[in-house]
Amino acid sequence: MQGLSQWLMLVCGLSTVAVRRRSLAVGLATCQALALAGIAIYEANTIDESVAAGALVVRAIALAGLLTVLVSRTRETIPVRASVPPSIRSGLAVGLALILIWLIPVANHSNFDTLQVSFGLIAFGMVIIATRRATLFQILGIIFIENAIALAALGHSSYSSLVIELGVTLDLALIAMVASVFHDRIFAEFGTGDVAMLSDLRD
Amino acid sequence: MPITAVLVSGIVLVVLGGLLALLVNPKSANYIQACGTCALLVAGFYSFVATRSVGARFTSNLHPQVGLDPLSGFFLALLGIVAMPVLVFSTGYFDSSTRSRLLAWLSSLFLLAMVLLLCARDPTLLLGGWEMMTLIPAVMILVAHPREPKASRAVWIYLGVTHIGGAGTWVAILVLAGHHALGGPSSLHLAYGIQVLVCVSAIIGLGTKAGLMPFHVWLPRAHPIAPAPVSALMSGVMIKVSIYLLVRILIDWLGPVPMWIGIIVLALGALSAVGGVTSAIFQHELKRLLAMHSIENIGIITLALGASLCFRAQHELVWASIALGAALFHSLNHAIFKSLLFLGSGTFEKYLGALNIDRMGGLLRKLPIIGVSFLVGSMAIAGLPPLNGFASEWLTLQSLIHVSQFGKMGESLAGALALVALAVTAALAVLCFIKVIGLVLLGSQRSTPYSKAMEPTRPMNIALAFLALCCLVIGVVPGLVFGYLIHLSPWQGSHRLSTGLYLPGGDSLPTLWVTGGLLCLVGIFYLARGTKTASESPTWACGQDLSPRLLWTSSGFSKPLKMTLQTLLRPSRSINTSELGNVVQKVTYQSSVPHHFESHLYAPLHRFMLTQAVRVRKLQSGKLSVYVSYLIGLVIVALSLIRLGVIR
Repeated sequence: MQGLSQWLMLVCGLSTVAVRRRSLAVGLATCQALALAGIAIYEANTIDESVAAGALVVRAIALAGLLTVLVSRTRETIPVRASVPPSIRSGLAVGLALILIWLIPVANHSNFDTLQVSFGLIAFGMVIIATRRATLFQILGIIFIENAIALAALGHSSYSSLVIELGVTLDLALIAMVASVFHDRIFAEFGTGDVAMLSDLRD
Repeated sequence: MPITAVLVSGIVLVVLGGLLALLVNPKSANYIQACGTCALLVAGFYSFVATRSVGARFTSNLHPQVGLDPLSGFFLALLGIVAMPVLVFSTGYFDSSTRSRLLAWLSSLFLLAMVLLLCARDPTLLLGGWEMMTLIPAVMILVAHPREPKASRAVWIYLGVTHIGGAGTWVAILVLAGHHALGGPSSLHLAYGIQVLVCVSAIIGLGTKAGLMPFHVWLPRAHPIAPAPVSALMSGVMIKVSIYLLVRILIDWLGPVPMWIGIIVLALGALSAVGGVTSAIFQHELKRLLAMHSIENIGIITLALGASLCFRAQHELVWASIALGAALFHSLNHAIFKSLLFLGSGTFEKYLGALNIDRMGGLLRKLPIIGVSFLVGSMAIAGLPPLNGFASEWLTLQSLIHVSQFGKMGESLAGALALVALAVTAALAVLCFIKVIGLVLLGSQRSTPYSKAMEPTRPMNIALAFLALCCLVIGVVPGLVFGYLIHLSPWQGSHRLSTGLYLPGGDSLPTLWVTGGLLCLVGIFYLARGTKTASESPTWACGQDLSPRLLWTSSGFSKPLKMTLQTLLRPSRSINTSELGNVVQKVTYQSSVPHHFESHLYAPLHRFMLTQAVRVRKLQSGKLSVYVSYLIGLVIVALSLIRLGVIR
């Protein structure tokens, strides 16, 4: 069950790297967040851990709602083109994921597989942020990295997961809200959610 | 009443005074704060004299701990003896405007930051207090001078220099804490490289805050621009708290340090002392002149500290105690007379509306109590007997004489050069304050008519008279203070408690006899004067009307010295003449002594940093994808270093 969910998270992540449509990407991100919540529910043994898993479910639903509203509010007349073609994006994401996984220190990790998946997701998130110009994809990249951190925390048995999950949930909710407001403002100002438009504002 | 209760009540009163300043009249708030500092003085003095420690001991752990030992007690007493009259003075100096309320509240925060630093017993509180002590005066200057470009620039330089240099303090404290050596016995077993790193970092970090040359550039800008009570606290107490930390690190925690560290400290002290006093002589603004003298006196304190380090490296522990005692004694004395002089200059500024020495004159007659107190402070800072400055400078001089006696050839030479530097400093300080006394206190009224914007009030007179009395009492019976200061050395020096100063080898300064002799001399002159009085007659001025423009000026007084040191100082001057039909209408003359450290050290460094900043700025492309690429690179490098075992 846990291995399947982790594979599902990776597939969702890699698909988001490649897809063009924003609504599809939001669906994939929600699917990934629910898979993460599923792992948390499966591994919950105490009341604290169950509450933490519940927090992850609420987070997945809330983010899905927020991002869907955002997509519907900011319809692009012409879709923002990514700066790199999908095949190269996917290749970069897989390559970076393999490098990071290879570099993970092997010693003293009881749950090494989970850590590998987490680093893979971090690589996907970073590639999405680096190669996509649409602001919504930048938000999704951050969400993937946060999901990866939450997954790594679930694999770490020595800390209370309730504290970690609630912290991550609050953290992500704040980041997503701020980013959404920025996306909304950028769209209102430029008529598109293209971050390339912001480079002129540097000076 | 236990010492802890007195200490806590003092802190509570300072906090209460600060809060009341925001709610009610700042005058009563300042009085409450003064009561608080009086309690702090009592607690600190008791801990110092009775060698009592309370609270926690120093720890390298990051858990907040507070406590008080005799050394911090001495500096707490120093804070109390300066802050108390400063706060009393503030009641008359500040009005009841919102700005004054804010300044009264900030002064309580400033005092609390310094108390926190003195009572801190762990790295977090120590560094927290250190940062607060740096930031709060900057805020006070900005509150006192809102929207003034000169003040903003001074604060900018103050914050920049003290934070860049102050990084050394962080390095020293954190390296010591990292080796569990903050007050622990393991400090004596530190590796040579670590010991040197801590010493050099501490000298740069704490030297910058203390105003030691060549790290002093912030001090002549920030101290004069602050309101007089704030200048008094900054120059009287804040820079001494840096000396406290320097003594803690170099003397208390590190154990014996290599001889060359002691010689470097001596060299920096000599540079500061001579450089500070030389710059002071050519200043035309009173508070800036006093700020330069702070650099000079920090130099004298550092000379004594350097002598102590040299003696310790030579295993001459008796003289190491004496030199350390001299450093601490001069810290106390400088705190007292410098705060007195800053408060006096603040009064003159309120009275005249200006601080230009060339516009002052005859203030001894106009403001007798303030004038006499200022005269006592000037004599004390010039190192004249029987005042406190003379006693501590005499002790420093004796220490340096013995450095040159005990060591090998190189050490003796260093000691001899430091001795010469101190002698030159003392002579130039006398010259400088003859100028100040002559042009500010004596003579007649100058160009600007007295605005009498504000007559000094009774609290202002009392505050200055109290500090002048301290200068006199400590100068007459210095042995009563110095006898206790000797005990503050970690190797437990001993000194017999007496009114005068008696050193090993027969050198002595029987201050009571000296004072008696001086009084007799004055009495003889007074009696010899008889009942004759000088007949009044107009001063001959080549047939012209005697106008203030014909009086001595600050530039005229210091010109012979400027010409003598022309090769070294490289003064600049410009004379502009405007003519109309071959008839000279107006001549303007400007002269200045450039600050060589600024033009030859800081200006090239500044240019280099700007050039590098332009290059580094190319990394800042403004593209999110590039920034994320940096992040990816950072993650890969970090993981690679972990993989290679560089980071564990």
